[in-house]
Amino acid sequence: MSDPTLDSRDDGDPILPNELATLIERARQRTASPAMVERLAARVLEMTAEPVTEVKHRGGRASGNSRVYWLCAVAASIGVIFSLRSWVTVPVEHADVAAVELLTQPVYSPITTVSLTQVGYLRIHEDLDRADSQVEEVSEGLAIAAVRHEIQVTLEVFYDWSR
Amino acid sequence: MSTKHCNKWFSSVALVGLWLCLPVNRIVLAEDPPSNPTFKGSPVITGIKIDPKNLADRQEQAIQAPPKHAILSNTLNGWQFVPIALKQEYDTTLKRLESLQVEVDAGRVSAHDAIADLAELKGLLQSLRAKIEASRVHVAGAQINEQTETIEFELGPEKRLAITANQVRVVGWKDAKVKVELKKIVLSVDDKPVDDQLKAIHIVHEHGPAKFAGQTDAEWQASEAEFMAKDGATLTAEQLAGRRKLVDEIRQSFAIHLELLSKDIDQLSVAGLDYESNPIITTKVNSEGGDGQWGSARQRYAEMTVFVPACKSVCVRGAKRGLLVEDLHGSLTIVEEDSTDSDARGRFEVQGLTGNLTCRSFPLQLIANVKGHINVESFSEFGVEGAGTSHRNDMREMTPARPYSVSVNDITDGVDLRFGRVNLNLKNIAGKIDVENEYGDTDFVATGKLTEAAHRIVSQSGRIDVKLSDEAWNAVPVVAVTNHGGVRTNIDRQQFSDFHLSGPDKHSRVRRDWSGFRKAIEGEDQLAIFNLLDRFDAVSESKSRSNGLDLMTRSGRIAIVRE
Repeated sequence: MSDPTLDSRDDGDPILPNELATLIERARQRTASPAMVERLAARVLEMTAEPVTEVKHRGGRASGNSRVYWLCAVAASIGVIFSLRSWVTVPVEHADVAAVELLTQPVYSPITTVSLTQVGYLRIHEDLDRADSQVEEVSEGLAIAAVRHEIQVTLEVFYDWSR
Repeated sequence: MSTKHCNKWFSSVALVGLWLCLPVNRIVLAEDPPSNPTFKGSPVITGIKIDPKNLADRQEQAIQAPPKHAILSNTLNGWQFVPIALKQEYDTTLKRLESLQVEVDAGRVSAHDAIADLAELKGLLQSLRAKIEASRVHVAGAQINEQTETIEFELGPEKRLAITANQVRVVGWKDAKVKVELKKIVLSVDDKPVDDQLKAIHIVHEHGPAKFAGQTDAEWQASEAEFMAKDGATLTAEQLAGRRKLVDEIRQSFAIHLELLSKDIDQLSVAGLDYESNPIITTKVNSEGGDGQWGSARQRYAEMTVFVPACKSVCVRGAKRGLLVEDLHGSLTIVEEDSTDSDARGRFEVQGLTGNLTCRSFPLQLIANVKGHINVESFSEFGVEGAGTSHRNDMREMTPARPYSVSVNDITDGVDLRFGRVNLNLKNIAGKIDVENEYGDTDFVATGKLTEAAHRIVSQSGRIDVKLSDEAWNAVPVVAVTNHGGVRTNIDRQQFSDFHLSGPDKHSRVRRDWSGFRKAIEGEDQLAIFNLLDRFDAVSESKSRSNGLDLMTRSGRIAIVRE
């Protein structure tokens, strides 16, 4: 059911929808664990469950009976961004598995594991604010837990003169 | 048996008494006996000439350390000194780091600010530590004399080995024989030969019944019958009841060795290190305007390394100066009994074990890579950092040490852990998790799926920090509950709902408040929440209950983070 032609296109970069560009901009400010972003991504997928039957990109090709995802991995270590784009088509019945598989490329920052978000399409704007607040909440909780642990480890290291 | 019991107690008291050091200048608590010389390459004192020939004469005088230097640590034969100003700055910075931890715990600082503060303090500590390392001076109080003895033997038919020694390294290997290497160490403060002292330390290998394992039921009954026939008639019913209770307690103390009863096993020990024959040397050191210490130490030491083929069991007894177990195939029991020396800053680790581990009242710091079950009970205070008694404003204050740290990683068949107060770190535990850390903090990271079992982590006043992967979260029901503490989570209310209950504490028969979060259960009867009161009793007492992960404190804080 997939459309391999979308993966092997030779007409240059696909056109980034505005929604995606916005999300990338927001995501690069984020510090969240890959697992959390996966969950957010899964939620976005759930909310945007309407099948897409046509996606345009430069070259004018279209996907027919496949669900097409833009998967964009945004790895942000503090203030630095990279982007990794891939055009992927997956059959509807394998969508969730594919999303999870494609979503794990963590980048480690000094603070916590940061990394990767996935974007769907269509109603992303509607969910962004909520996703943002969740990411912030999770990030703070994770960061506090991480820093507490690191303080503990540091104390043990610097109290110890035996090694 | 009561005589033996009393001897053990007396030995402990004697050991503590030996290491009471008197202040010379600034008070320094001699928290433990000298540890091994771990500062490799440490410069021997310069500027002050140490002539070992004169050490004996100088026993009455203090050995002079450089002026304005503080004692950083004790070594086997002396002290590590560092400039006092550096040491003070280092200690102050560590206190600042401790304060930051308190601020984080109290939620008075954001993660962002805490990270910045931590980075600053860490940088400062690294810089100070580098300066300390560069400026430390080893002041010798005695000379070290060493000799090595080696033996080999094959394990008897039982394939069981018991090792009684103060400092032990057990290494699993593929050879069929057991190989034992004993490094003998004698300290000397004069130029008298130490050959006899070295000779007095030697390996003892026996094959026979393990006397330390106690007596069989028949033997206990026979000795009781004998007592009753001789002296029992003269005792009142009350006295007899008291005696019976004491005897039962003593019998119970041997329970850990039950599997060794009536078996002929191989036993290794070290001669020449008992209290009676191991001489004491006195050492005194002083830094003008800095630290001083006056103390005593045993003259003889020994480090035993045992290479062990796959076997049924190894029992390590004593080992309070150090214990390293590596890649052993066989069950392992560790008990503190019959140690004649200890090192509060020694290393105590089990890394690599195929078999079950049972440990009682022993300062294990690390247990890792165990293909088996581990069972640890340890309620002693093994920490020494920060402990002491001070006087200020007509008040005398006794301060406990920083909690001892224990890490348990990569265990395949579950853990059963009971601690009084330790900083406990748990990671990658498969099988049932049953943990009580009464007054210490527990940090648990579950990266994989939790086994479907009735897990629990319980504390009175310690923190419980739990980090769960999706896989762990999805595996079992989760409840976090406290009577008087707080609970934090980043899991939303739909999945992890709040509850507040008030009801009888089935154990203490008083009414208590219970607050916390629990994983939402789809289609559950609304009244089912009241069943939690029964569950809390079962969790608290480690009784039978349905599967799930229960986190419970009386007053400690609980934090559950889902990654």
